[in-house]
Amino acid sequence: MNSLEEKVLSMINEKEVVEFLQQLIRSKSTYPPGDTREVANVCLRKLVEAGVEAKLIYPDHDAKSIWDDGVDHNNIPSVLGVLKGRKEKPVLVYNAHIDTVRVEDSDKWKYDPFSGVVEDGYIYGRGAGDDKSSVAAQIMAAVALARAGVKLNGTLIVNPVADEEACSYRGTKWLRDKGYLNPDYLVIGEQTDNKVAVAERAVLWIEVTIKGKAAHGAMPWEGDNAVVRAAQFINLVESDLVPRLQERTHPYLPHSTISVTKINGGVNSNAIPEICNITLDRRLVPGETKEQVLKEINDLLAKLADETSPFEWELKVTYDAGAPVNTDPNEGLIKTLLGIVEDLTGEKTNPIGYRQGSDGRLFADRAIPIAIYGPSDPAVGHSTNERVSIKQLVEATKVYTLLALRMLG
Amino acid sequence: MQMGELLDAVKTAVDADEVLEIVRRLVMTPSHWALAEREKPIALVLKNLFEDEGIDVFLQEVIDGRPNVIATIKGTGGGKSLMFNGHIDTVPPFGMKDPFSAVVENGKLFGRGSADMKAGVGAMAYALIVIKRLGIQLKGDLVFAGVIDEDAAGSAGTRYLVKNGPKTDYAIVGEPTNLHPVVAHKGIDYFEIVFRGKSVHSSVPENGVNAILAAADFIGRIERQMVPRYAGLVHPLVGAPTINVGLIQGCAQGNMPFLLGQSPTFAGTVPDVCKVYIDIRWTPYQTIDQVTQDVMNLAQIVQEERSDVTVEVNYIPMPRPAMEIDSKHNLVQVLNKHIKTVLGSERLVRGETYWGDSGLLYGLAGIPTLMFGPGDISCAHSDDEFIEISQLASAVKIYALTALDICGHEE
Repeated sequence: MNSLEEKVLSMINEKEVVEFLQQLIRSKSTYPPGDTREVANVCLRKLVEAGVEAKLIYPDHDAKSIWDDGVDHNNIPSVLGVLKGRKEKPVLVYNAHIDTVRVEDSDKWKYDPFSGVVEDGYIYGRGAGDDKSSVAAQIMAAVALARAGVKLNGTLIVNPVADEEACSYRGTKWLRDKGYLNPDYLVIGEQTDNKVAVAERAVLWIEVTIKGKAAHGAMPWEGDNAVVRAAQFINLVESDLVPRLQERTHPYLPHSTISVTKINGGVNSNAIPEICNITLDRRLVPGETKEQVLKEINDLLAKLADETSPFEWELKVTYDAGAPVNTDPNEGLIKTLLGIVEDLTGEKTNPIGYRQGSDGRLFADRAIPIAIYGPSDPAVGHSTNERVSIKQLVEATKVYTLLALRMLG
Repeated sequence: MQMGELLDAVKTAVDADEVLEIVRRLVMTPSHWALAEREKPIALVLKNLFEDEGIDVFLQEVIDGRPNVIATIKGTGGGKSLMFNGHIDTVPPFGMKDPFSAVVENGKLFGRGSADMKAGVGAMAYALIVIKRLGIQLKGDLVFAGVIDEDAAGSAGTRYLVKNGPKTDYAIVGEPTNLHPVVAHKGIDYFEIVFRGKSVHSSVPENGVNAILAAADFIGRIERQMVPRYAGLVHPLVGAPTINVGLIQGCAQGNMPFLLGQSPTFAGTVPDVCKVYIDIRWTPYQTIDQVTQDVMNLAQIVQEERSDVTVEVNYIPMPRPAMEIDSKHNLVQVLNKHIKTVLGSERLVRGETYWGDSGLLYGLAGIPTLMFGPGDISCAHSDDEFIEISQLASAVKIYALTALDICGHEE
């Protein structure tokens, strides 16, 4: 560690970092409705006070969620903080989400989930792990760099973002599509227990609509039962596709999977169902593409039609969370991150896979390195007594600080 | 009176215009399930009709103020009792134009319920009136039962009769059979089969138990095992039993509202529950116990193959038994004799694809029953429902003569 790095790290004050995270937790932003106005303003103020250029960005009317949840776009601002350097490129983006999931069981919590109580070195609260500790670490890193008056050789963008828990269509995805985010390097702050994640599966939700022919229940032979077709298809998924997907593995990730998560067909027991809808949850490992996945399902349906008799179907992607993340561990971003973690902890660590879903997938089809890194154990996210250790929080703040210095040094 | 005289007396007493007016009045009195008053207004029309003729009649409250209409011509004893049974409700008008004006055109009467089955109800009621007016003293009781709730699919009216009476030795249900004696139809029963697994996050499906996969397995077995076997159990009049997988709903229990369209789609959880609803139409060769056992056996196989799933078979307790009466049975013979008298020739007995309250009278109350009535079932429930007016008077004559024959009468 050089003297500049030491100087910048000295700007990080544990008490201030803890208090900032407490303030983020107290700014309730649970989805639904995912109102981020207060928490976004807390982020904005912290950045601006330190001299980082920052503004709130509201999704416009063409930003449409997959949910028809009635959320007012004026209530879900994201934040864009820009620490300009000597030159514009390269651009390093830190992204972490400021909305959280709901608290369904507040009576089971040790403390009010929106108070940010500190006990035995941990900060408790909804979002303490997922994902306000990452937000705090990324912002406090930018603040430290600004306070130290560092001029980077590139641009650092800090992006506390809304709508992640609602699937990001009005958050990161929208910002990306509108050209606000064009990273050369991207780090997504999510719970990795301060380990460096380099890979993540993608998710597709696919609705299969099977069309049969309706008929009166007394004359089933006159119809073509869509529910029976659907059952034949599902049997084929289980016997044919599932074993093939189990062979598609990745060193850091679970294998490729398909789950039939919903089925709904027919109106009454006494009529031959004309339509049956099936929802598939498909997790793609690196190497698999959306086109390939859809073709595979189409082929399976075509095979069924071949083996039985012709029928019609439709496939519709109802949720597309981008492509699988698969960053080469030999990329500069990853090696630098692993080096920083080793410098700060004295321990050598290996890259890992991220098991949950992050906004990193929205950039996975771009040829840029993506890392996922943040404090707190993913097991406590979305759960009762969610918490983060202060030690990890401060360590993550230092990691983000040093990463900007070393990548844009 | 001798047979010839009786025939002439009945023929003279049946006024074709009068029975048409009765049926028209019934059609003009809506009695479908979308109305708050349901069958009450039409029950009162029938009650008044019988009262005006001096026939004993009462309203038998079944549920929620909805009454059956029971009219009786009491016999002197020593004869068989006979029930004319007809449902007084209809399906709603749906897209039908002018459903309640009872328009008469080209020998047809149009309107909701004209075929199914206000023609039958009107003709049966008028048969009682004709006998009453002729002053003939019956030996056995002749009962008219206008019942509620058949088209509403509950058949609460006839179920009430089966439990509380009046019950008779024989029964004729006046469904639209185009004046053919229908001596058999299938039974219909519904089953709910519930598959339960274990929900987990859908990124790690191996850690859970997907209830939909088990349900699909079960449906596949129905198609491969049960359907072909049932296809072989052909009954000469009603054909083979059929199975319809009519409804399936499966998802993680936490997502239940999504199925009902109350919330947006969420698909990120392995489903822990899937429900399958099947409709089995069984023949008089089978019993509901056998059919239930067939379903249980199949569920048992899935249960054994997938030990981490629990399978539950629930019989939906609204029995709709099959009906069959021997073609040589006196009721069939007598009916066909009078069909010949009135229409010139006997008609072939046949089975029907649809179900009627005859299944309850036969299957639950053990009453030898057949279906016979004016009108064509194929236009029932449609936007073009009608009755051939010429069938009305014929039906009345056949009903009246059959009643006189079955119940017997004083000379």
